[in-house]
Amino acid sequence: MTAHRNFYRFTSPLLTVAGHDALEELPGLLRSLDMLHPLILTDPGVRRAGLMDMVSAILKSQEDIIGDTWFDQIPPDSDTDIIAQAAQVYREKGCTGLLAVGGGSVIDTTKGVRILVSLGGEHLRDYQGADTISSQLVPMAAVPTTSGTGSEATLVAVIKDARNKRKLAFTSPSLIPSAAILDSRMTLTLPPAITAATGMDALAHAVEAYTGLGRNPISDSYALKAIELIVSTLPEVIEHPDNQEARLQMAVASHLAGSAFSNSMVGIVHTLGHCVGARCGIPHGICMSILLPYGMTYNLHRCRERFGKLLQVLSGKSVYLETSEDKRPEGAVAAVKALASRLHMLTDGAHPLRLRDILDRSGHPIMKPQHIPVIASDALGDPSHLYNPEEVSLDELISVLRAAYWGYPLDKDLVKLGHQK
Amino acid sequence: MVKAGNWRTRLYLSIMFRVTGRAIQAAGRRDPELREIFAALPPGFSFRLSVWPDGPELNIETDSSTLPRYGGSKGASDPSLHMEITSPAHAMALFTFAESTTMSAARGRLVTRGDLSHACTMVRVLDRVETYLLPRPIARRAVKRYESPQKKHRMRLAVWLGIIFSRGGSRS
Repeated sequence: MTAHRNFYRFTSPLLTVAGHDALEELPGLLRSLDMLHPLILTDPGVRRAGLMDMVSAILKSQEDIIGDTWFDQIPPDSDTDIIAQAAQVYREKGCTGLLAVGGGSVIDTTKGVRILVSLGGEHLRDYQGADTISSQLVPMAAVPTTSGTGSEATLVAVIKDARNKRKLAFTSPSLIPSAAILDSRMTLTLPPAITAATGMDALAHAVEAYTGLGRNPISDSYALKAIELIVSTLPEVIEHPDNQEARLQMAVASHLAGSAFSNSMVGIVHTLGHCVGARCGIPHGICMSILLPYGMTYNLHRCRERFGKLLQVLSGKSVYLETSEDKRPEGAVAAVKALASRLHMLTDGAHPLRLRDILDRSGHPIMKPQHIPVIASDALGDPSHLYNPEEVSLDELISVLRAAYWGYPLDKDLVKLGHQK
Repeated sequence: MVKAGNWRTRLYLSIMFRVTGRAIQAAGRRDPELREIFAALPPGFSFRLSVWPDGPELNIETDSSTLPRYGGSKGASDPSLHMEITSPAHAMALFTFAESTTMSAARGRLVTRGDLSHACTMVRVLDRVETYLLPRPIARRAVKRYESPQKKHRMRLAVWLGIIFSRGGSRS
């Protein structure tokens, strides 16, 4: 019974246009996708930043494209009601495709609208699940305005159910957008703290994709290139936010990391990050940055060889060669911690290093120690833990969260060792 | 070796589905951890595991006291959670324990309709039941991390007696 092991699958059907002025390609791209009347979805923040003016100006000069049908009220924590409203606009206006301009929330919301307008029905929850959507959906293009989620390249959408506040998860190759435009101008206005958090989100995607159970040689190559770009570019972007070349490299890195994890899936870092975010409202990228070294330590014994190889990408060839083989995996974890610490310094402390350091407006920690067992319990229902190389249990998740909350090293003796190679 | 798609495959899978379904019912009523897991599922939860395109299927429903009941190949017309193995070959890999349930999911061999958090729960249930059904060396291949349950031998006996004498699935 070995025949079933002899194949893997890697899906990336999307057309990517990347460059400093890539947005100029938008009209041609809309024509090629037969999207002459797109519904353009965005959020108020993107509008305020003036990014939509750029999109409007480009579309305004195109006589054959109707570029003034907008839905710009997507909140950071979008839900099924918002999607139903946007789908209604799409139907009423007779649109022929969807254009998402924004971060992860906007792109995931657009994926939800895409399901509803393509497959009909009123309730998105009827389509939740893995690989359940096999039909061809209406065309969708995405213009990311952050370099982190990589949602423009993924087959995943996570959307809150307005009825019961639960997260609905959708995974299907049909959900990968038809096209993505990575334009360095779209992230130029991002403040350093958000640039740091979203960049670490991309790093978490790449590292978890490289060690996830669904990994394959193609996802590995995407993940490694993404890590290389992030490590060499992220501090530079924080120090020099106007460096357009570095901004573009980060956008490409996020895109590659998105494509990698879309195929190999993610693990414990995202399992806990999703639940910390849902319970406490902490931004996803910050959760990822704090939890990544802890998640790596948790999985260290299962992926020593892989983490060892990561040291070369994270710290360079000379450090890799100077480090003895048995110390390289721990070296990779230390390199990730060092990157987070550097971002902490470069952002004057705005990029936190412990969960307890994330404060509300009155200066109190948003997450409290009593949240830890509840979040750990939630995490057992998060599908991403299935793809983690090591099994997780409630006690272990609590241990990881406690360590990340107080900022002390994870006690490896608390992790039960799995047996499978 | 049994080849995918022939009558031996179908027979083997049918037997394994019936054994697994009855084992879920038996273990889910006796093992405190499984009882807790089933109690946390929504009232009236129903689960179907099937093989595409027309392979065997097993159906589990929770009753009014949140205990699992095996319904053989007859179940709710629209189950709360439906996990479909995408080919008989993949089902064979899973049920000959050459591949764990999590690896099967990671390699895209399962189509899941319904709440994915419930899919996590059912994968945990399947893993737990396999530790009762199988000898340790085989169970270690079937689950990501083998943990010997408390009172394993007593529970194993109870589960196997439940499989042999249960009337669950007799409608199929």
